[in-house]
Amino acid sequence: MAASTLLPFQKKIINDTVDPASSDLVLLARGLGLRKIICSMLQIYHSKQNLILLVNARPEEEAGMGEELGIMGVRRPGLRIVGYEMGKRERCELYRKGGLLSVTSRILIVDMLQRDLPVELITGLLVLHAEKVTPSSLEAFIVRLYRESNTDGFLKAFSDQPEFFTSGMFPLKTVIKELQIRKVAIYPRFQEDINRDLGRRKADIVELHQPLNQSMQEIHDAIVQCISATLADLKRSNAALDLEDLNVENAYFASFDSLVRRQLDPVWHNVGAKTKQLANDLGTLRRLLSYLLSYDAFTFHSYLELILAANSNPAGMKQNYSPWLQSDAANVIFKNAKRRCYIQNSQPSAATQEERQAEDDWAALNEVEGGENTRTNSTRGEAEGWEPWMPKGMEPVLEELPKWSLLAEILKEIETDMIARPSNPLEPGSNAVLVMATDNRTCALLREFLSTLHLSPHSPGRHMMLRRLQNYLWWKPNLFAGTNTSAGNGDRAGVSQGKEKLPELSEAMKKKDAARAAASLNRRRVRGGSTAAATGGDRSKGKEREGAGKEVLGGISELEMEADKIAEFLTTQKPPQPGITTAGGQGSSTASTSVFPEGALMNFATDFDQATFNEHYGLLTPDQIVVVRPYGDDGDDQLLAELRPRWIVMFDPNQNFIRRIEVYRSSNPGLAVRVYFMMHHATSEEHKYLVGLRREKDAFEKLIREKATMFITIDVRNPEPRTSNRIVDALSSRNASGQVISNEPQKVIVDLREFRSSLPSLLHKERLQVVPATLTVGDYILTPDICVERKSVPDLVQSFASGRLYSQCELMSVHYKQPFLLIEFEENKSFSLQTIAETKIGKSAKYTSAPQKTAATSDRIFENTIQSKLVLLTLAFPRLRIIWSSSPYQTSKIFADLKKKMPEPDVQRAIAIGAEEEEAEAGEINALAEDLLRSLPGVTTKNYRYVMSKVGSIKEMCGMSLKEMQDLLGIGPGKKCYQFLHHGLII
Amino acid sequence: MSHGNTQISSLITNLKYHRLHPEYIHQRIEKIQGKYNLRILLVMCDVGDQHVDPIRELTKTCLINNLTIMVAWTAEEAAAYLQMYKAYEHKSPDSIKERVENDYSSLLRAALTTIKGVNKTDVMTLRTNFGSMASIAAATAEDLSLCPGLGGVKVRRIKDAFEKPFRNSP
Repeated sequence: MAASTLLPFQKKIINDTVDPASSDLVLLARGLGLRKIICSMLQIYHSKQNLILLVNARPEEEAGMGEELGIMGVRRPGLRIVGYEMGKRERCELYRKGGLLSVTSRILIVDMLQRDLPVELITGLLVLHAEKVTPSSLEAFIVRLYRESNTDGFLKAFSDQPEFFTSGMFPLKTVIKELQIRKVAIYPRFQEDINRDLGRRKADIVELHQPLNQSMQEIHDAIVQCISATLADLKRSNAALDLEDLNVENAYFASFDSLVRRQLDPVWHNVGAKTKQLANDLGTLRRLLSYLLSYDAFTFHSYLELILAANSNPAGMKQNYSPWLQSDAANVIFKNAKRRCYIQNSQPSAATQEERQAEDDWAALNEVEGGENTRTNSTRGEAEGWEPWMPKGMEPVLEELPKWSLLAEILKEIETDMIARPSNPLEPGSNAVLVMATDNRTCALLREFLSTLHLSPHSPGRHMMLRRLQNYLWWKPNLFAGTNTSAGNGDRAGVSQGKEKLPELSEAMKKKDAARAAASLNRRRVRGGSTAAATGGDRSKGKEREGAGKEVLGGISELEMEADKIAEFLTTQKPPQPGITTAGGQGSSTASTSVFPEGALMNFATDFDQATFNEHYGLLTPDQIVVVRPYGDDGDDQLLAELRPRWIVMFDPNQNFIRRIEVYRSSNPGLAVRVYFMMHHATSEEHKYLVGLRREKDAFEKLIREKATMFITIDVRNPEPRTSNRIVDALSSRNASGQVISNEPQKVIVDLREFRSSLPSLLHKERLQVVPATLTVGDYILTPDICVERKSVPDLVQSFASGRLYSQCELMSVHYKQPFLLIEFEENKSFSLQTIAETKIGKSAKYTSAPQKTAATSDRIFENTIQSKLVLLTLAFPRLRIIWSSSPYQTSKIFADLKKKMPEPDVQRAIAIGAEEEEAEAGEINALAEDLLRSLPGVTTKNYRYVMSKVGSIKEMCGMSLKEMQDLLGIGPGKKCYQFLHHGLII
Repeated sequence: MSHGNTQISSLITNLKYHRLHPEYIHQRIEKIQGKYNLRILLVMCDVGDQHVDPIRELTKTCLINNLTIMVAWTAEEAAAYLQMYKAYEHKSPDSIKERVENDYSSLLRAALTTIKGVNKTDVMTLRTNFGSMASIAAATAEDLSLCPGLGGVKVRRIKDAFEKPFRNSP
């Protein structure tokens, strides 16, 4: 079925590349059905006699392609996925039987090296995301191993990211060289065949340019202002920067960060902490810009508060604030973001509780006297949408995103259209409406919006925003839970724990809270003077008077007070209805949405109150369906093909999806599709869209020119024979005469988890034989005596801080005569430790030390630096040697050097060293989980492997009882770990 | 250019000098052969990009002669190393040993930031929305993705770290 819907240009691409005798790189514009093309090729190759490996596919792509192949009839066995969860025996079986396999690169490389996968038997390799195949990548290593012992198999590489080749570090030529390919085919959207196939029928696209509302516009402009100020600062502090590319427009793109980093890396040790902060800030600001357009007002506001909170240092350490936080523009951002949510009136604060009491008395008195001035906050508030559960003085604003009501209008229009023009059963396409948005979050938001918009006819999003406000009120007190006393801590976390706990909020806890409120009240009074002016009645006036920049920083304490107040207020409230306070899970349990548990389907044409059983629980006809989906990659083609919608609303602009619609229309002749295309007018969104279009086009043009002039000089048929050179090397070296030269290649035993780094690949390039193994002690074993622990600079900092390095050196010293610590710097980055001296140790203590001035002061400055720790380490382990390497390339050379004329290491012995019997036969390791595990208190270098052999995952650990934990880790550490994992919960 | 006492001996060279007189350091090394408990070769890297070959060569030399290399990039840094070796000679290595911290905030931050892409703002987000590690572990991907700042990739990494098994079956 799917094969029949291929367009002529797609067929042509398949015909041109499918030939198993040649190896090709296909570069296709995004949105033109690359997955379909690859699947069709897999279908052709599918046979038991063939072993076809799919490399470098992301998990969701593996799943999507498996599904699509299933639909195309490629089943039994179809595409099988080999991940690290699969045992070794099972893998070997699969390799032997042949067929289509998608293998994780890290597993594939180990299996190839261990000869579990007979490389000669591979019929062909399909490499996705070819743009990622850089000289140090695992995929390049795989290709090298493949070509070393298999020159007959084919290799097809695919990419839909032309920009990577032109703006990244590695040009097309490098990638082609690494892939050992000679044929490149480039298919941009403007290619002749494609243009002809897609241009036949003009699209019916309604473009809607929605302007921002005023507060959003102000925030938008202020963020842009912050970006340009930050950029200007950055340029001022670094003469070395190439100013050409660093403009505000480029700063909208995620690739900008790497652009800045790449320019700064060579001089990274010379740039100050300030520059690093600035580079970081640009990322934050860019995210803010996109969040502004996609988050609802409360989420955006709370994110801003989180940024502020994360930037305040509870330990009272000296810290550089991000300069933008201190600017006037930031003030505009914070103020407006809050104003979009609610307005805090001259509210009765905690400080004036007694006064309020007095006021009430006066009010009562006044009332008795028949005075007019008794209209208190609450009565006025009610008039403007105040609800009983809101704190007094809070005036909800609940600003909605401008696109929401636009979407509601469009859907109404579509509905009228549907009625006016009922679908002909013979006509292709269904009456489903497809709404596409950027990500899952936006989709969840839209689903909630659409399912509640009938509840408040005048402002469609109001119902949802009220719920957001409730959530916000429950969340807010947690913000400063960490900065307060530890006693208060637990309670707060308990409150936030919400769901079940809240209803039983005990009297005792309330009392505690009240006590804390009193304490904070005292604290506030002590502050006196200027801060007092910021509280209470004339707070807003106080704001105006204070300097704008100061205020945002002062905002921390202000935030804190507000959080306190809300917390205090909450204790006076009855527990809320369930479903409202679910931590983060914004009310997916309200009546209207729970009808459609998937949340994907929504019936807005019917009134729920009068709905019959059938409308609630029966199957929906396509006419009543609105599907909200995030843009996915090539999986969207499948979505379109299955749903066959006649109405599509693009909530966010997306160039690729427009092409998908073109393909969809062209492969469904006679189908009338109307597309609504929504875009915020004159914003970063619009700009990003337009520049994105231009960039892709430019990239293709450049690549086509590059291809025309490219001269590739690889001879795939004659890989150099290994080992021969090594012997020649050994013979020609000066002292070789007395040595016995064995014909065996030189071995390096490499720990499995080191395959995350590029070093094993480079060692192989250095003509060393890489032997993967699970090592307990050390990362690399060079000789029977030399054991190397590799640390990249961030690793070094971290493992010093955690003390892990000390334990590792201890272990190495016990088992090996010559333990080595390899300190590996990154290529293209500065080869110097100064950078660390400057940024200081650990993430918590950044930006504290100044560059050293004189030798006299340097001692003090170096205290607690990485250098001082290295000194301590070498003193503690006099036998420990250090390798200083500026890059993995240099490391591989040093390793080869160290191995010269040394005996070979023994694999079995290396594996056995330090390993306990129970875990001798260990499989692949989940590195993410392992790192997380090792960071837990109570888990040490000595016991983490044991834990991993006993417990399945971190989640499983979280489910263990205190007793079980203590059985696992010991009484003390077990308790520590348990308390950490369940912090804030009652033990 | 040697400074020493009964326990530690250090030799200093800079790469500029070393490239001109490679034999010098060998003579010096011979002189201190077998005499000290810890022997340091302090190398000052002052040759810009030309450090690759001399450092590789010195690494091998030090392996053979049981020396530990330390690299400094400025005279001040080198001086600081010497001062520190002198000052720390009898200091215990406790500050670099594994220890248990008690501050919950820094522990939580250290733990969660091991997950690639999770920054301090995200830690704050997770903490304020869920509270403890156990609650984060219990949260669904959907719960997580509703937090501001946590996009699809981060959520997947968090889920992988918490839920995927440490090891596969052998």
